[in-house]
Amino acid sequence: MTISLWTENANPQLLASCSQSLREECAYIAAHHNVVPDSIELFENDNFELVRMLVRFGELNTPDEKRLINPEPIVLIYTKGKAGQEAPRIFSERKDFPRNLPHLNPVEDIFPSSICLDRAGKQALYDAQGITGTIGRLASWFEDTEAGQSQHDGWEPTPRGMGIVSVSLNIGAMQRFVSKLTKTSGTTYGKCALLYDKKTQNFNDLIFLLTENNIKGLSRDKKRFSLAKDYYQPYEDMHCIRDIPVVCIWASDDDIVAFHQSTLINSPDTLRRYAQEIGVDERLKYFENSILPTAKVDIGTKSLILLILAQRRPKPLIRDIPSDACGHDRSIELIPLALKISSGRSPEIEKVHQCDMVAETTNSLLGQMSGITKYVDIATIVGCGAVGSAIASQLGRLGAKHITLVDSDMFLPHNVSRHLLGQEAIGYKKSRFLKLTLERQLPVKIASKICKFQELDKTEKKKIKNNGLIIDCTAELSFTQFAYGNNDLPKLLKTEVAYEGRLGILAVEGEGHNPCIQDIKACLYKSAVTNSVIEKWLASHEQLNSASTGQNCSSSTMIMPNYVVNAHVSCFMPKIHQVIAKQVESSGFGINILNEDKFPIGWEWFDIPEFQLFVSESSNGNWDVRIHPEVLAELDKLSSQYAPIEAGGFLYGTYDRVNRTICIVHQIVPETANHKTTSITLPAAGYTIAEVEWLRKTAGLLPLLGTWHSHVNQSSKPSHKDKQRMADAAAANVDTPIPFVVLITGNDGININVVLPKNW
Amino acid sequence: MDKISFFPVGNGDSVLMEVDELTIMTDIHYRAKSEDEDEDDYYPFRDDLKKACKKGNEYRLGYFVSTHPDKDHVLGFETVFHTGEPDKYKSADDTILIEEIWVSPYGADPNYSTNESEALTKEIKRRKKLQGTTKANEAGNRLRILSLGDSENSDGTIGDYLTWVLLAPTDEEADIEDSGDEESPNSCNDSSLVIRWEYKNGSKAEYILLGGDAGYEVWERIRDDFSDEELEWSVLLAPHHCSRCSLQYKNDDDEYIDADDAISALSNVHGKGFVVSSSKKVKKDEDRPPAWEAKQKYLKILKDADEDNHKDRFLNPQIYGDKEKPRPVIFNLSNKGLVLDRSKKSNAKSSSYVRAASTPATYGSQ
Repeated sequence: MTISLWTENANPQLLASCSQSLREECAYIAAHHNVVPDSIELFENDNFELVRMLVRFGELNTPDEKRLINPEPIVLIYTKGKAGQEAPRIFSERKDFPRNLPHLNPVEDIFPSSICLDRAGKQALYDAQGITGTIGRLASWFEDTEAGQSQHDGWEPTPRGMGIVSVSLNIGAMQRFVSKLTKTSGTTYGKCALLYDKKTQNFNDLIFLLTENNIKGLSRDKKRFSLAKDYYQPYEDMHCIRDIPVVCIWASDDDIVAFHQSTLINSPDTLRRYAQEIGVDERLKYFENSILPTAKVDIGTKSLILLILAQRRPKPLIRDIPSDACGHDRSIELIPLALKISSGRSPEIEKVHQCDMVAETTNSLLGQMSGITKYVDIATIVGCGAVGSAIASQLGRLGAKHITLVDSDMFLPHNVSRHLLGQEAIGYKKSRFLKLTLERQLPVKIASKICKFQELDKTEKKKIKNNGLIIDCTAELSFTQFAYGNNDLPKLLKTEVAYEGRLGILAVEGEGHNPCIQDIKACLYKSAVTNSVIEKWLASHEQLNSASTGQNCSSSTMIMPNYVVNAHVSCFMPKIHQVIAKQVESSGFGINILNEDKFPIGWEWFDIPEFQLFVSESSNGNWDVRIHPEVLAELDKLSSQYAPIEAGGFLYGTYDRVNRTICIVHQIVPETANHKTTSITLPAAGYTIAEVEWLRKTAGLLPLLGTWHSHVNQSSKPSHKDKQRMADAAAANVDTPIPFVVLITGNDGININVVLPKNW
Repeated sequence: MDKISFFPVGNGDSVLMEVDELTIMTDIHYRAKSEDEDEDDYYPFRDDLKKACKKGNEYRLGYFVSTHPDKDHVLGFETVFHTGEPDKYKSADDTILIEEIWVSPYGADPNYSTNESEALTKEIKRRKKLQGTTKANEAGNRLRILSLGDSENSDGTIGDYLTWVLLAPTDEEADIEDSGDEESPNSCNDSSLVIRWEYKNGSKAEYILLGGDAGYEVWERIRDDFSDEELEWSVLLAPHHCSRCSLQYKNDDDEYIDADDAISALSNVHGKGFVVSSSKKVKKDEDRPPAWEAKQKYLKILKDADEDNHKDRFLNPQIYGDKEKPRPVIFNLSNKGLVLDRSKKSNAKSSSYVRAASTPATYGSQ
């Protein structure tokens, strides 16, 4: 069962000698209720760290898919040193793991199956729920697969995009076109446009355009390559455009393939094998032998052809695929491939590249789509997604003289639905095109940086510091984590649009990053206790709200219309303007709530005071314990109230193990605590109504992070008894690996100890 | 998430179904922790029950199904549930209000009561008195007496997903002769309510067979009266805590002989099948129930249904946790069908996800 691939290319590793980040990650994995105890093994090579484990899932009484075993051996692959930050790739470890299931990423034959857990992508899932949520989702993946319910709303195409080469086409039109012809297999010919950046002449980011007009012009079984030229006029200003031959080969209805094919199509051989699987091998041979010599078009040093393989599936594709085809027509799956053709008299296919397929910018697509920040990595004074571009534009119109835009992403067709830029920007880097657009429109100087903020060099970062503030419009955690406690960075503002667009959130840090974004976020979660919309949002956190933007389940974005983005940005702007203009010094968060129909309910601002910072030494580095001043005041009051007997209770908040920070925002004194003059016995946590309500309303996002108690008229130094409890906590938290705070109040102030799980 | 939980209660039954916000408890065997008992050997399922029954500021159980009034099926009733008029119910009393009680005709009018059954019997009598008045239909007063002789009370539906069919008792089975001696009463095991529950959410149906302590004669009669299809189960609670007396009878030489029809009645597995033995750990010794011989019969039934890992589908909540500690056996119910929660066998009793605070801890200056 076990294959040797991993062990051949990696060396066994002991937990004690692996990186700290992986050791902590493993503590979470080991404690996970779906991971079989003692099943974890570690390996490493030059670039990666591997975790092998057994994942147990619910045992179905009546499974439809009987090829899974329980537990399943799984391998997680981390980029070295990135555990906790970058989502691992997830592979089965079984050579005989079925390769024709839905939700498998295409991989080369030598690799075992790679599992796709979320249409929003593994990083989005990992950012939202960490490795704990990822493994939980994996167990659900197995259960759903066994139950035959992993494709509940239609045929799920295998995700084939690689993120570099994209094909923009009218998916519905192409499906209808092919669907009419599938009595027998066949081939059509035509042309599409290839766009690439005029300035950089960069061939790494390519986008093929095949519109409805061009699809109409496809000729069946006649080697006629024509193109409706007028359609790419909007792109001519800024793009290099080439006519590229497009060939579509479809399989006959007699060859409906009712299972998934997760083989990576990345070479002439794998292409031929796939063609054989779907019954078009003869068509492909004809294409290779007879079409290539006439179809080849040289672009610089390259010759490219777009090949689309089409096959009918047993049922219509899932609803998320942005196609207006219905019923029988909708069951056509399209696989676009960019073929690099050799030069010379007998041209051959040299390379095959799977393409991201994205829907053409049509009215119906624009209606479906909303903001684009899901995968956009923006770290800047103004980011460049839907919110970032709108804020950039607003700031320009407010008279800002200098704006720096940082974003590494390319503008894709679906971005048009919610972005300031239009379809003329397709194929361009967002930050560069936004710079050009805004500079054309407004008297503003814009610096555009096509990279992640973290990748900027020192000089550039210094310039940004002098600009006064950073507005983080990214949907990712990485920039916030990078910015924590970084005194080289100015004050940080963070925007977020959440809960199906119903919540617009703007967080504003205090001076010196206090309160920091993490403090503010904890306070935002705490507001669920009194705000039912926040409560519902937190309760819905398990589901990432997204829609596909193409045929690949790996390409997705949030669902909301452009006016929702504008509604939130309009509410953010007065506060942003206040902060920039230094009219107020307030730090905190503002929420703009829309009702279910997206009508505004109102904007509300919550001031958050400076958190008190304590530094606790631990066995593997210092931890910052940040405590809300209201909590400290409550502890003080309770200690006095209970004196001469000891007071105590539980502490709640968030923690971030990347930055080694803990934020405490709440405390509860359990009614059943036994208070004495020199001791306090706290009951098992989680039973009183106050505790249950707290965890329910905050959806477990502000978990119990420790205990506190008072030493009456004595030093806050831990007693022998306290030290024993801390040792107990370190041992017990091997099962629930989180840092555990033991806070003691005494006549000399507060003493804070961070107890780490024994196996960290 | 809809689910059915078999709580670890030693030799006794406590089964909770939670479906579509409805709660149905079959029997109760709730005991306080004894002083010499290890913390980890005792499972206070009352907390789970309260959590499931929480409605606003109150705790309300939709249905309590009392299969029969023996000690191991009624223990702790008074501690856990409110008795008396519902108007006087206060959640601050830390009890749960039962909206409706189901019993057999014998349970509604038993020949005798014990210390353990007295509270339940009294509560049933109170509700019985109200029958025929408008008050009888109020939550907290409702009582339903089930019998195969009463077509109105032998099957039905609860909510959108649950249907139930009564398999026993007949009027005759529910008519237990009074021995006239409270010290040695006649067994009421054969008056047990035997109910097959069907859960159907989407296309998949799953069946749960709960039969109290019904003995082999009842199962033989059930075999005669119902088809294989009507007797299919996905989960079977091994009757009488995995005792032999539901599967075998004693001949004149005091030897156990297989009651083939009874075994046949209990052999209709739907899917792979799971058997739950709500008992102490099954050992090959004389301390019965549970009986090692009965376990072998159930293992064979499971093996015949699906050979793979059939031994892992015989489950005992008393030893289901880590290191054979008590932990509820939980099956999730959804449109995927019935799914056994196979996640790691943590014995954590607290809903708080922090082991360091999952048991009482004493801090202090000295």
